[in-house]
Amino acid sequence: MPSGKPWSELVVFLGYGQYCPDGAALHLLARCRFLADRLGSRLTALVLGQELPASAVAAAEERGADEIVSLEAPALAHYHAEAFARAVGNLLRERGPGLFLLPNTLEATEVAPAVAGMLEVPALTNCIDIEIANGCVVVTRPMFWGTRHVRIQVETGQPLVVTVQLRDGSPVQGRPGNPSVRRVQLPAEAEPLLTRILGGSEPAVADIDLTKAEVIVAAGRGAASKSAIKLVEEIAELLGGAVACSRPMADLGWFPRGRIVGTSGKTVRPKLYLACGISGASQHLAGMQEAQTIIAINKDPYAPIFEVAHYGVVGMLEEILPAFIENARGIRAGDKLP
Amino acid sequence: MRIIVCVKAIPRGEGQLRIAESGDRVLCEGAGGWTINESDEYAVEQGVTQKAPLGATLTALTVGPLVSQEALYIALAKGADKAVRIDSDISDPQRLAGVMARAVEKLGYDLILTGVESSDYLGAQVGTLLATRMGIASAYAVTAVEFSPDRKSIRVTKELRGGASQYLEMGLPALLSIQYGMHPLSYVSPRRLLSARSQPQETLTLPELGLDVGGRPGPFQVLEVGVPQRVRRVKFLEGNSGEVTSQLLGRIRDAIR
Ligand SMILES: Cc1cc2nc3c(=O)[nH]c(=O)nc-3n(C[C@H](O)[C@H](O)[C@H](O)COP(=O)(O)OP(=O)(O)OC[C@H]3O[C@@H](n4cnc5c(N)ncnc54)[C@H](O)[C@@H]3O)c2cc1C
Repeated sequence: MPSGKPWSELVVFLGYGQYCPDGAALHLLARCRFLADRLGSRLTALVLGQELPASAVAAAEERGADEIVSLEAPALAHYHAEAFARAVGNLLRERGPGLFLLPNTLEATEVAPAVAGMLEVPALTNCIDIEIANGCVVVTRPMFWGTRHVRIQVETGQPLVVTVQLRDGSPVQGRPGNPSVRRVQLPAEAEPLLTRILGGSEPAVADIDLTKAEVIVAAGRGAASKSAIKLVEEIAELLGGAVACSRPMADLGWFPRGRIVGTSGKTVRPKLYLACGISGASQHLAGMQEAQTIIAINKDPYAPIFEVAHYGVVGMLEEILPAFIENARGIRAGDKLP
Repeated sequence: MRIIVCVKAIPRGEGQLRIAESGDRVLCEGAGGWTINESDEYAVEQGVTQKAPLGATLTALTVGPLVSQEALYIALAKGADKAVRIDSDISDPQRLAGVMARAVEKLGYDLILTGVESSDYLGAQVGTLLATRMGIASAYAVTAVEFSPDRKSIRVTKELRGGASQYLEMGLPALLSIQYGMHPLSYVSPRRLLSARSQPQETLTLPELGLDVGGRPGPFQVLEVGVPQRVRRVKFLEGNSGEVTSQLLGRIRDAIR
């Protein structure tokens, strides 16, 4: 049991509106059950939206939350950073010093510092692990393009906001529980908000559905040339797979946006994800770390893509890909190798 | 119209990093090793693009030690009118936002632009923290901005998960964290960079901003910095080109069988 007074509770953000329960939050909730047991803290699952989805209740039960708090208002049905931060901030203020955890989604990247700023409490964002080591709560986060990791010991009992995207494959199931449910209808905002939502749009329809591909060959900035992309496309064809890319490759105009994998693109779980010249930023890993087999080719042995890869080749794409193509002609899903 | 763009200098690349003997800090080695943080470059680009049609002045602001000038030089070379450095090595996001709040108040502003994250700390906090502290509207991962005819408000497109977009309206002053790729980055010639180096920069100290240098550390402590622990203990395929290729083929066959 860690020294210092414990947090009264761990509050895990389970999602909002159509993203509730958020897939990324389930793993975190299960991990937090484990932590809360050891810390002697309660575990609360927090939901925002117009109503409380039954699937969120089930998810919180399966992972052993002690309580579900559902903050409900028409304005919370859709994402609104300012309204979200205010609702969550007010709740946390009322409940006293706890540890507030969010899965590291794009929305959380905005809401977490907004809540931390409002409450004037520190935040540790973009963490990839939270554990108990030598009796202390320790988080791990990447720095310097993900090529270095820092492990930080956290003092329990002090209010803190943390965003986490767990990178290990520990089970998503926790021990089941029987949470009490507290549904709070929030009154209309007393103070006007500074931002007004005018509307939104879904992502443009993609030319192919990456989420259905069993084999994905993905090009990153290490493959930002006509010749390298041609190699990537050739391999995808040989393997009967689809070509995907990291975000900068779409920004640079090499691929349409529908091919992006990651936070601002698709989340994929193919049988094979072959990453060519992709560093493995958190926002990219978020979209592919659950692929069944991940193979990465990168010239940098410390590239964070190797943290999630099953197999790795350290080297230059320009050398590895042509040699591979030479040998691989004829391989396709299901076919026999020469 | 006064626009402030917040920039940070970071090491040019991973190769320059060394872990301090104490094991809890990363040091950057090598002269000329600092450059502007990639994400901030998009914010500068946005400021420069916006400046002319609005008749605005663009001030680049950084908080950091002397080497941080490198980020300001690039901002100047890209078209910023003025550069200000707050001399401090504070890195804690909340304290940094506190320092920046004082600085932007002193400089005066209608619009503050930041990047979405710094590639060194990878925290993505400071922009939103600064706006929250100032009590002004903000948006993160902005991909488009349009000014109202009276220039008192803006319409902003921001990114949501999965490539979806959201449209927001907000009054000025406001803070926008500009998403990667909003504008293509312009090339800075060595010549322009050289002339930017001779432009004057204003330097302010924390006491000059009425801030005390100390400050309470957060309720945490760095245990160690290191190279990444590999979750899956990746198996590297090694050998000569033929060996690597045949192993690769084998693994791929197993994966897609
Ligand atoms: C809000 C937000 C959302 C984001 N969403 C996404 C997203 O959905 N998807 C996404 O991908 N990114 C996203 N990003 C961007 C992300 O942070 C990274 O910037 C991006 O993933 C980096 O892309 P990359 O790996 O292709 O490029 P880099 O990081 O530049 O990596 C290139 C890699 O190629 C290697 N390399 C270079 N040359 C060679 C060679 N010749 N042979 C072999 N290897 C080589 C290098 O060692 C390096 O590791 C987002 C960022 C933010 C802030």
